[in-house]
Parts: sequence; structure tokens; C-alpha cells
Amino acid sequence: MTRLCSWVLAAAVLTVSACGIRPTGSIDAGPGARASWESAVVYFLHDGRPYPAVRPDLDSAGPQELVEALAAGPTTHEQDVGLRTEVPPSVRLVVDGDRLVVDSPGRLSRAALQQIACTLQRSVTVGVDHADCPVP
Amino acid sequence: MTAAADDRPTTRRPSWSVGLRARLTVAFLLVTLGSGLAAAGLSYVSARNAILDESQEQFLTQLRDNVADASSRPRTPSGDALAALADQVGLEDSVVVYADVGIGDGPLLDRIPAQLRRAVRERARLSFQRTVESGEPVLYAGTPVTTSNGVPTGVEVYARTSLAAQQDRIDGLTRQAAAVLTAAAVVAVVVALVAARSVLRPVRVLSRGAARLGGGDLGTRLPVRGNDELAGLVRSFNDAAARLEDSVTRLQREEANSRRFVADVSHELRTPLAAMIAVTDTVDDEAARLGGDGAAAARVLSTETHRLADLVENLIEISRFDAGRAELHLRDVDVRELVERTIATRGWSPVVHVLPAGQPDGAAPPVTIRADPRRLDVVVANLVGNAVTHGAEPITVAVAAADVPGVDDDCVTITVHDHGPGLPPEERQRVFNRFYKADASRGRTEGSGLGLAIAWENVRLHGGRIDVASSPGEGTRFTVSLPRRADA
Repeated sequence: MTRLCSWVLAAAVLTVSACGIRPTGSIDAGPGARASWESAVVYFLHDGRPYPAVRPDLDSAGPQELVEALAAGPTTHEQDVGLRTEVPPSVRLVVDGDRLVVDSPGRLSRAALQQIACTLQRSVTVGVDHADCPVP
Repeated sequence: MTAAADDRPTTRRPSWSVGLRARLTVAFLLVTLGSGLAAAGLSYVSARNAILDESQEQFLTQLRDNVADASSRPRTPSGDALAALADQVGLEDSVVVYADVGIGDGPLLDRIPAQLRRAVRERARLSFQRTVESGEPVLYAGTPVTTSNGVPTGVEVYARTSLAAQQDRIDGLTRQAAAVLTAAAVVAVVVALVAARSVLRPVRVLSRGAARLGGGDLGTRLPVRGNDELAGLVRSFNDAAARLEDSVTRLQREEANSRRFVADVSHELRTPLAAMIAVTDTVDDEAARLGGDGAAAARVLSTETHRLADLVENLIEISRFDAGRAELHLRDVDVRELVERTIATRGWSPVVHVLPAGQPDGAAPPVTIRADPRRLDVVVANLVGNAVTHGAEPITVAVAAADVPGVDDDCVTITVHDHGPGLPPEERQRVFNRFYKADASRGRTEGSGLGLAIAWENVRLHGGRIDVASSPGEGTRFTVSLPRRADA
């Protein structure tokens, strides 16, 4: 009797679960949407973590200009959605052969370093691969 | 023999056939529904998945293409630009998200499943998720926007679409499957009933044939159809019936032959016996003159010759019953008067008392029935004679009409009661057998051994019956019940 009941129960569960449109978890469906243009990206901080911001006007800019853009801070709208910067205006980037040297009068915070590393990693070919850049 | 035994085959047969039919029907139904459900279930699942896959794929492609088109111009991600992007995505229910802030359909952002948001953010790939919102299935999809060289822009686009139309199509499939299954079940029941009928018809015919055979119609034969197991069974039945009929016919023929032989012998004996009786009567008359042993021998000769003549007469009577040639000559008969005359004629008046039931003064009204007086006389004479011979005094004969309690309205009873040793229970019915002797040690008695058998046959001819009640110390009581109208 118990066996029969469990069979009937299993059949009922199968039938019910096979019917209709069931909720799912999140399912990967391939690569995301891709725009048809290229653009430089700088990283500001959002909730303490680096977050990208598009700078089409800096498309062909060098590392120094990118760092300057970081020091200049987010736009008004970007500030409205909660972006900020920790890179101080006094920071300078010096190209020394095949090395980039960040020159700052004061001590740079870890977040500021992350901002610089992520921005440069995305924009120019440099050997900064340990930077903890969030994917977006 | 009893009523219960006769009823059993008729009560058992219908319930059995119904059971088989029900079992066949249920089995057919189960097989049909099982296979139908399996087939319908499989096709349902694959059709549902095809419908969902198609609509999801279409929606995702549309999202990806629209977002790619909309973000074709390089822009500074300002509020305005994102709003324009949201407009240009051109999907109903869509929202552009930048740094967790939605532009466009604001409330939609809160409804997007957190799991989907996390997946889009972390995997940076197009993702979708189905949920159910107040009973309605809904598809959410989200994609990050990257530059053409794959650099993330921090912009995400989410869109929502209802799957209600797909749900309707799937429900339609379910309804179709249910309708087809129902039709299949009905067809299965019909087919099962037809199949059960074709199986049960020969069984029923066979059962009816067996009942007819049991009822005595030995000529019963059943038509053999087809060549299957049931046909084989019918053939066996026919063989058995034929063999039964053969042996019964042979037995009947042999019995008829022997009865005819007895009848013939009796008839042949009748004439010489008549002559012998005439001679012995003469010898009897002369016996007194012979004296001594001669007189005794003459008396023995006369007595035995008369007994032989009685026996032959009884045998002839029995033969008539057996041949079905016994005839009733019905007349209105006063039973009480007939009983008294029978007893008086046989000279039993000193030992037999006739009781007018319930009325000891003897002024009983006549009890009249339609009967054959000669045969009734034989019945009474044989019963009373049996009591006189084997029973002990006092012997009473009671005639009871309908006004006696316990007696059927249309019946008249004659009860002969003696106070002899009584009969053991197993002997009671056998007293009516031919040549029955209650005491096996008695080789020979005065009676022919046919008296009670003849009484029985006579009462039966009148449509009545004889019951025997006996107990040691109480004597034996024979009760003849006769319908008032023998022909009724």
C-alpha cells in the first residue's frame, strides 16, 4: 500500500511539474550586446569598487590623459548615480621606458590604485594583470 | 434436491459474467490510458519546450539586436544619453541600468529577479530567467553592453515579456491531449465491451446449454463456431451431452423392457391364476371332508394362491403406473364415509377407530372432495392394512378438513396412526419403495410389499402427498394430504 502510494505520489509530482511554464533560475544565453564603436573606459568607484564609465572623447588618449580624467572625477550624471573618484588631482603618470610610474605627493589609497590599474589595463597594453577589476 | 441447490447455478452465472466483462473493460481502459498518457505526455513536453525555446530565442535575439542598434553611436554616458538609449532599445517593458540606477521603466527595475541581475553583472553575458507573477508566466532577460572590442561600459539593459500567449498555446495542447485521451478511453471501453461480448457470448451459450442439459433436455447440442479454445470446449460439451443421452436412453430402454416384461408376465399369470383360484376354492370347500393333513394342505394351497393372485394384481397396477396408463375416474366423494366403509368392508372395525376430528360425538359433517373412490379406497386400505399388520393397537384414522389448524385450506388429510414400535428416521421415506421390508430378517410377510408403493402412486396421481412421522414409543403416523380438486 505504501509502495503504491509512493508510486502514485511520484506520478502526480511528475505530472504537475511537467505541466505549464515553470519558473527557472538565471540561464546563460550567450554573449551580451555589443555596440558598433570603440571607446576608452575609465574606472570610478561605485560602492567602493571600480566601475566603468565611457569616455569616447579619450578614445585615442595616452595613459597620462586617462589618469588625468580619473583625477578630474565623474560627470554630474555619474555623480548622481553614485560614482566618485579617489585619485587626487596631484597624481602624475610618468612613462619610463616600458614602465608606467605613478607619481603622487601623498599616499594613494588602495581604491585609487585599483582605479588606475583597471583603467590602464582596459585602455593600453600594460602588464597590470593583478588588478581586481570587476567585469563590467 | 433442495431448492437452494437448484438455485445455485442461476444465481452464480450472471455475477461471474459481469465480473469478467468488468475486468476486461478495466484492463483495456488501463492499457489505453497508460499508453495514451505516455504518448501525450511526451509530445506535450517536447511541444511545450519547442514553444518556449522559440519564443525565448526570438525575444533574446531581439533584445541583443535592438541594444546593439541603439548604442551604435558613441556617447558620453550621461543621463540624457542613457534615456535616449532606453528609448531606442524599442522594447516594451525595458529598462537601462547604469550603476544600479534605472533609466526608463523605473518600477520594472525592482521586479527584475536579483539572481538575474547578479548573473548579468558577474558573467557579463546575456541571461534570462522565467518567473511567475500573480499566476502569469513572465520572461526576464538582461544583457551588459560592451564596446565593439569587448570593453564593458557599465551599462545593462533588461527587458520583460509576458509568456501568457505561450501559456495559452500550451494549455490548448493540454486540452487537446485531454480530449484525445477521453475519446480514446471511450473507444477503449466500447472495444472492451465488444471483445468481452465476443468472449462471453459462447460462454453464456455454453452455460445456458449446460443448464438445459441439467434440466433434462438431453438432446441439447450447441453450434460450434470457429476453431479456437472456446469452440473446443463447445465440442467437448456436445460429446459429453451425446454420451450422456446415449447412456440415459439405453438405461431407459432397459428399464422399460424390464417393466414390460413384468407387466407381460403378470398378465400371462392372470389367466392360469384365475383358473387355480377356481380350483382351490373348490378344494377349500372339500377340505372339511378331507380332514387331518389334507385339510391343512388344502387351506395353505388356497391362501397362497389368493396371495399370489393379489401380488399379480398389484404388479399389474404398478405396471400401469409405470406405463403412465393409470386413469383417474373422478367423482364427488365423502372421504369420511369412504374411510368408514373401507374399514368396515375389510373387517377392521374392531381394531380401528375412525376419529371425526374435533367432534367426538360422531355427528361430523361430510368432507367432500373430487377423487377416484376406487383408488382412494386402495390408499386407505393399504395404509390401514399396513398399520394393522405391522403396528399395534390402538389404531386411529382421522379425517380432517380445512377447518383444522395447520392444514392447507384446499386440502383434506387422512391420518392413520398406530402405536407400534415406530420407524427409525432413515427408514421413513423408504417405506414407499417397492418390496420394502421394515424388518430385514423377515423373509416373508402376508403383504405383497407393494401396498405402500401403490398407495403412494395413487395419492401422487391425485396431486397429493403422503408424509410419515414416527418416533419410538409414539408409533407411526401416515398423513395423506389430498387437494379438494384432484384435477387442479
